[in-house]
Amino acid sequence: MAQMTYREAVKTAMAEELRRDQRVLFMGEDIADMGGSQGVSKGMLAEFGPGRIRNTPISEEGIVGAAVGAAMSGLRPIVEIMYMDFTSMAMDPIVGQAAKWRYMTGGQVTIPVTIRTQGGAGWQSGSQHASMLESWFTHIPGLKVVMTSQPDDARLLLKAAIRDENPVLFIEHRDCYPRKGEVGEDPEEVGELGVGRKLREGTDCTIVCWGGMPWAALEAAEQLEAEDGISLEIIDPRTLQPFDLGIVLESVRKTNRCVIAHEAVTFGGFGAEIAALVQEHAFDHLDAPVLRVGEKWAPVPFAPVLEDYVVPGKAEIIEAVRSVAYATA
Amino acid sequence: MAASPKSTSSAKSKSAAAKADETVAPNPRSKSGAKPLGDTKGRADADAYGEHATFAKGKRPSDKLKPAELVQIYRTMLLARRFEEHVVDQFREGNLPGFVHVAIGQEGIAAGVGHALPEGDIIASTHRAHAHIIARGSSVEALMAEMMGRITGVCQGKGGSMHLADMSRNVVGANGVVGSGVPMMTGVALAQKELATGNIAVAFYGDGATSQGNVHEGMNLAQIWELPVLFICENNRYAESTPSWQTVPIDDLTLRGAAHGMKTFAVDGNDVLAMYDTTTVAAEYARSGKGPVYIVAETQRLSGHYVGDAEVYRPKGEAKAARAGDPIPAFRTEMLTRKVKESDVKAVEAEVEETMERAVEASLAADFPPAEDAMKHVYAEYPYQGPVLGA
Repeated sequence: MAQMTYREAVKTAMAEELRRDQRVLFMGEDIADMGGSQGVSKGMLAEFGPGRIRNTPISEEGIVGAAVGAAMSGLRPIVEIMYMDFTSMAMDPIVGQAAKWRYMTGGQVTIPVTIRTQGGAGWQSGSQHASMLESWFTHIPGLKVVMTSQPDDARLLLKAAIRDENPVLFIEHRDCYPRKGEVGEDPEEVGELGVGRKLREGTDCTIVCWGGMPWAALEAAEQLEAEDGISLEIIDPRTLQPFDLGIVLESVRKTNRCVIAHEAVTFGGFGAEIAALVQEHAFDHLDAPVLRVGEKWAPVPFAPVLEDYVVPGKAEIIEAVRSVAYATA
Repeated sequence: MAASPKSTSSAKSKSAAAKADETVAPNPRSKSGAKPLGDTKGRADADAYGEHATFAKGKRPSDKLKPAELVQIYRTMLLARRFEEHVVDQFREGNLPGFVHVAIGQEGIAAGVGHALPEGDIIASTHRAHAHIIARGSSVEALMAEMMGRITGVCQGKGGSMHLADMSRNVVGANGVVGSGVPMMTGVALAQKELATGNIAVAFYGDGATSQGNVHEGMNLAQIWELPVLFICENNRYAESTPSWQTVPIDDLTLRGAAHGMKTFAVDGNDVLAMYDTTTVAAEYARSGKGPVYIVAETQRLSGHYVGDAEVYRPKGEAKAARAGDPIPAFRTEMLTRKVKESDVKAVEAEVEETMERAVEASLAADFPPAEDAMKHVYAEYPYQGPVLGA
């Protein structure tokens, strides 16, 4: 095991797969000399060369489209979309092409493409560089969606995504990049998509959260324990599609309470799907309504005071958990 | 002003010139002597624009085609034509559902390209795909069955007309989204280069698609990476119902390829041998590692955008006049001047009739897929355990 940041874990996963399989290549904007806008791929150009670490023009639709074509003819491309907001520029190749091509052809092709992107508020990057849009993609049959918060999971699940025969969207939250953790070193070790992880054992309330929110939930749990005596169980589903409902139900049947937290706008978010599933499968176990924590109904604003107001964090989690535990005044 | 009377006439001013030729859509932008878009004579317009592949006398690649090969090219064109005529009939009879776009009149491009490329080369088509795919040797029975939604269809009934694909013939597929095949084939070409297969990729698209961003993003990538890919624009002068002159501010579409620094050719797509020659030269160029080639092939749609289109947008008589440029009878005449025996032509005509009748009959008799097949092929795994696990 080695101590490394989430950022390094993502790079390690890509480098291991590039070493392992000549068919893997990595393309995106500014990923070569610069190492990507978040510095994830720093140094990869030197090891793998410009043929496999391909700097591209600013053409999200073109590069994802090309990656889809390359994937159906024998390569296993990884594409980086610099900010999650820019996936809107590549919706046709992701949603209209990658997700459907195998289906429409009656299974004649596979599309083993991994699309990495990142986002998240809290950096005053304004409305066009901070959105979390995972629910756009969890709604699309044919796609898999990974959104994992821990460094070791980032490595193992990105490797799994690259080896997967389907198009996989791998979403990184910006808050995770500097987080450190113990990460394995066996290049053959690989994760499994569709298996959630319990990040904290608890008895009074379950919180299902992803992206950067598990880090906020971990801090909230300490405060709730100390101030309210509430024991919070934290579930990071790690992949949203396929979704490990089993781990959520098991927890909810124990705690009888459920909060769902994501940074994306609450209304119509993926949390709504989880809330529906929990009431459908564990209605009799619930002692309180399922609550959701997410962004208010506004684009992410620029000024820190405005951004803080819209974007959820530890305080909103604490408030929601107290509410379902009937610990509020 | 030296412009032709056609180009200065407008719909409102019923000048003598306009009255004289009501088959031509007015093109208010045409200032040069170049023929206005909407002119019905594909060949003449093709000559007006861009660089053409040129050959010394007797050195055209098609000069080497033997009579039997010429007959095969003719067969491809005819098979595509008869296929689509049967498609129209079956659609009208209610046996063939969905959105259907025929390429009647554009078979010269499909056949010229199809016969110029070796089997390993990979093509992607558009929503108007039937002829392209037939020209790569796909089974017309599997294609017809697909269009009727049968289990024996080339995509097992999952695709239909707009999503025909036949990987056994290296046809990665038609595409229901205008222009999306272009970046995809850039990626296919990237794979050919990286895996050193020696094959090239070919993307068909139409004049309407040249206004799509995805087309230019794909082309730019192909050019900077010098990928082995041909971008073949079928210029039928209509983007669905809208004539080009309303949406494209230039007459010479090769400029849109040239803007990427790309090698470009203009060709009369209704001349199947010119198409064959140009494709041969372009494929050689791309295969040798020099980069992509952009080809504009002039043609005419002899029918509407979709089956059932009343073509209210088309100048009166234009489609009828375009029939004078029908590539199939033109090539039939041409073949006979090239030592092809008329009896051989008639034999192949009879065989095509029979092949198509059999294909339609077999498709009508084939089973529909079981309803639960709808859940197959969503993912590479079947059955797929998601979307919700452990409930």
